[in-house]
Amino acid sequence: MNFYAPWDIRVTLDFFLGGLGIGAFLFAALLSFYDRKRYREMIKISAYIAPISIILGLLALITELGKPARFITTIFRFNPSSVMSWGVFLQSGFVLFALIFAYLIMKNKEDSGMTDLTLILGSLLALAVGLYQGLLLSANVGRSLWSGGLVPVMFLFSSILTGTAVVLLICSLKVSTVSNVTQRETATVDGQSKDFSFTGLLFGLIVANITIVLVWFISLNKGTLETQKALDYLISNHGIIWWGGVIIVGLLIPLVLVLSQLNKRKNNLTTTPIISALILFGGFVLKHIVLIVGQVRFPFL
Amino acid sequence: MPNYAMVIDLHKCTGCGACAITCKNENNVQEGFFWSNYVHKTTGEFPNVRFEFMPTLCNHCEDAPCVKACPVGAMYKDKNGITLHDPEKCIGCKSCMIADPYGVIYFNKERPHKFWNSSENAIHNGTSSGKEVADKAGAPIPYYNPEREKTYAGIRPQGIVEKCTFCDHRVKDGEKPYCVESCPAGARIFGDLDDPHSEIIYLISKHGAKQLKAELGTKPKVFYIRSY
Ligand code: SF4
Repeated sequence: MNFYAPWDIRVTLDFFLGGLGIGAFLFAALLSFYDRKRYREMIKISAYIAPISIILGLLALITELGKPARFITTIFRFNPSSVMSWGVFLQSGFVLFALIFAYLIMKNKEDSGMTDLTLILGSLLALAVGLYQGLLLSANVGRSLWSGGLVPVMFLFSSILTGTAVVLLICSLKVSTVSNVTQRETATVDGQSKDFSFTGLLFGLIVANITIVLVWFISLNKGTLETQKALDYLISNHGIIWWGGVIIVGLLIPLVLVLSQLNKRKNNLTTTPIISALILFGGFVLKHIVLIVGQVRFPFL
Repeated sequence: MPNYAMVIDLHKCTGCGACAITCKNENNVQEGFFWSNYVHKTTGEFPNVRFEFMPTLCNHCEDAPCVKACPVGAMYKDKNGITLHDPEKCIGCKSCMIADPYGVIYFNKERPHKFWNSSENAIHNGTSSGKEVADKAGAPIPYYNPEREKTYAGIRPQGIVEKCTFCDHRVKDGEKPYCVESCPAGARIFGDLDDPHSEIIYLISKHGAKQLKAELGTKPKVFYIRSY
């Protein structure tokens, strides 16, 4: 079936890059409240990734507009029933907090009360932005693939996972921090908190993502004729990239690699970048495929 | 204030497609866009064949999802129940197209009416171009209807969406939408849904009516009566 998808890959880029931004921010918040001295370097990287990534995503979205210069009017022509209208404010708010946080980190003010406040409010906005992306899709009536309310949660979890992965990827590529990233289950050093288990976090996030993707898939499959039709379209036209790209490459292989790393309980310098890269690929494809296939329109007659 | 709606009598409709063509004329609608459109389907095997033909257009829903989705209020409900679009406000985000369950909103991805703006030969080895014809006609397109400018952009520019307006420029002067006017079978009836004595209310109560995707709760105001 040939169809015209009004929203193209630039919207996926917004979802994906925005997702990296909120994921990185939440990761920074987690590490900050865990032990901000020890993971200073990672927090710093996350703090920089968050605003850069979401701003790049927004730029991609703006180029998607037919009248990009009118983007600014969304601020004073607020429509309370429009999810996109809310999104403009949520994303702008998040960008603001992400920038403040990056500034505080840059100025070495991570211990100030201001930082904590920024982290808490920024995290709330990050969660809201994460949910907003999926709501932009699921709030539309008659779009079977997006119906049922699970898409926002699925996108949020994907964002948290990919945001974490991108920070780990960049950190693991920086040799100085490799040991930080990959040493996880080692013994507690005197006077320090227990090592943060990055592998454990990845494991939890991947399992959460697999669970929600499966629940979404099964509930559509067991749903009305319309939702089954949408799912059939997805599988018959994009089955390989769905099963191969999203599920196997993006989730299951990373899961196996993470499990083997957890099992060995030792440094594994090679797998972290690979796991992260696979997760990023899978996360991008997931959002893209759900966005594009959801726009297919089935005939009335 | 009236609450405008339309009844399409599928029994009378001959499937000639005049509504789709005349609409383009009245509203300067460009190639590939169909404010007034139709779908058809053939089922069964000879000799037991069934052919269905259904004219479609914007349903001017009472609870219009495109209006809800628009982040800048460019898509809006007029007091008379017609769903309208403000080309000055539109940012071209296409949220309305995503929200619209009927596929009746079109996006001007490129400069519209390319053919009439092009200096290329209209016919292979010919001597005239679309642009030449339009220039000689003294209008942006040879069949340009300036009446359309009264309430909407005469031709909608690149970067914004467009859709059926129930010919609000005609309706405000007491005329009927042009598809209604031009239907040779008299299959399209336009009227006020809130007037208990209107013809559309009479037809809907007499025959019972079907609305497209009524289950979505958008309260569409194009009612189909009888069947082909
Ligand atoms: S494309 Fe224009 S009319 Fe449609 S939702 Fe966006 S701003 Fe509103």
